[in-house]
Amino acid sequence: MKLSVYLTGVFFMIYVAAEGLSFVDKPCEKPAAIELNVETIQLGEPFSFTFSLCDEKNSMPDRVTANAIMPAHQHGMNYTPTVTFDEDSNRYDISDFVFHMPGEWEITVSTYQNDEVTHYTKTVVIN
Amino acid sequence: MRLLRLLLCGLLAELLLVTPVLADNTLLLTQSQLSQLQAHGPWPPVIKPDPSNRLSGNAEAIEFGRRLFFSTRLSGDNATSCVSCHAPEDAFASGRVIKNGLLELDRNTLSLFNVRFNRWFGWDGSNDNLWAQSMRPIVSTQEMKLPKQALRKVIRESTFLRSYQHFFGEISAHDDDLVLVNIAKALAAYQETLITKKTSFDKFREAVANKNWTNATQYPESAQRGLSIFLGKGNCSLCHSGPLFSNGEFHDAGVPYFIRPGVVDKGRHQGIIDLKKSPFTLASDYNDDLKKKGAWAVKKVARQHSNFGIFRVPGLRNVANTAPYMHDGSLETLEDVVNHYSDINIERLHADGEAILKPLNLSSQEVADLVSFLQSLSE
Repeated sequence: MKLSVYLTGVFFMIYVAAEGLSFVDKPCEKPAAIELNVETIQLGEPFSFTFSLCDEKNSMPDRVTANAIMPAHQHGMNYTPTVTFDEDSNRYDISDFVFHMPGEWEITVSTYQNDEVTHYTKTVVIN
Repeated sequence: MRLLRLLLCGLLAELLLVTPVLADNTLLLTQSQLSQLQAHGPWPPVIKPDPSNRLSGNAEAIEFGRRLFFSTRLSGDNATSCVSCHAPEDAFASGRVIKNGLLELDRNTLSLFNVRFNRWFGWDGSNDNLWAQSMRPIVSTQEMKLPKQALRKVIRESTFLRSYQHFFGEISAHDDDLVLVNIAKALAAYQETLITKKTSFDKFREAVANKNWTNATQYPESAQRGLSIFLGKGNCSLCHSGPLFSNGEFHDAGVPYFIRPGVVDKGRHQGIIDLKKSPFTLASDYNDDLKKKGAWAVKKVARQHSNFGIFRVPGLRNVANTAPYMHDGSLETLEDVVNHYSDINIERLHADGEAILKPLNLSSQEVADLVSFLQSLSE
């Protein structure tokens, strides 16, 4: 029961429709990456980071979602993150993340394109 | 030979003068734990005025708030004040039974010490600021029972009118909600001053930070052993984190949420519902901060199924003076609390909730040590 709930939680995504936006035609500089400075994360305080997505087809995902869980404790965050696309930087700005407990957190950013979904994860440890 | 005796005497004299007198205690914590405990300070934290309350930090307003706090005029029966449940001699707390035994509430009365540092207020976090929380008991039909429509008349006919109009202007120009908010902001300004002092734990923490091992070993060994459990196998610091010994969020502590037959305390689940409906949040125009910096929390808080029947983690500073414990006041002593977690039945925890608590199976000595540590957080 707990495993299925856990898996459901991993794939439960919060999303913002990126209407009217399009990727700027730029060459791929590096693979998709969750870019954040762990040193700036304060326990219990909101923080932001960026997600860069480099697609060979240069097509924008239908939607991008972000979430985080503590795998050891089987719980996520208490706040709904915000995902917006920044045309100037060609990155996604992800904000309103709050890690309310110390330990290992797993961040997942998911991109949805038609029937395809791709998950990008990053593990951070907060003291 | 004589010279040698003189040298030996001199050396002995020097040793007697400069050798520090060591306490009987020894340092029992590991290097990792000594580092880890630094996160529980410094105390007190840096104090900043609350931008949502223009009266925050104002000495005159604090005095106005103090007078309101101790006054029975803010009650329907003119016999109840904030002090009725939050008496200074009781660490500004009480249990579920208030008004000299005349009324039993559904929840334990939280202490107001250090309340200014909270993000969420009340056991269910139904308010996101202190002034909104201060309004609640005044208009509660169980507690102070003063309808907001009656508050204007009370202020007008009291010695509070001059202070009210000094801070807020002509009262006749304000609607009932605004009068209530303004009074609550004065109350909040006073409550912000209720901060606990440094304790023996803080002195220990500072001694460790300064590598003053002589002073560090003044800290009782039983409290050190308890702290080791708190940071280690007890996992207490996961939820009771930071200088406040609380992460300010909501967790399942394995305490039943049935109040009485047929009545359930929904905890955070209902708290979020009430919060989202409230016209007095930091997202409202009653927030004196034009930038509404604190409003992100009420806008982004997620309502989840696992919120049902969970309650806010109270801070542990001064905990020895705020019995009884848990949201329903069901545990009388700190030993009861520690034993509750030691023997916890994980079948009582939410099936879709977090997997943090597990039976600790503490020995009686370990229980005593953990209690000793908790007592060192109290003045």
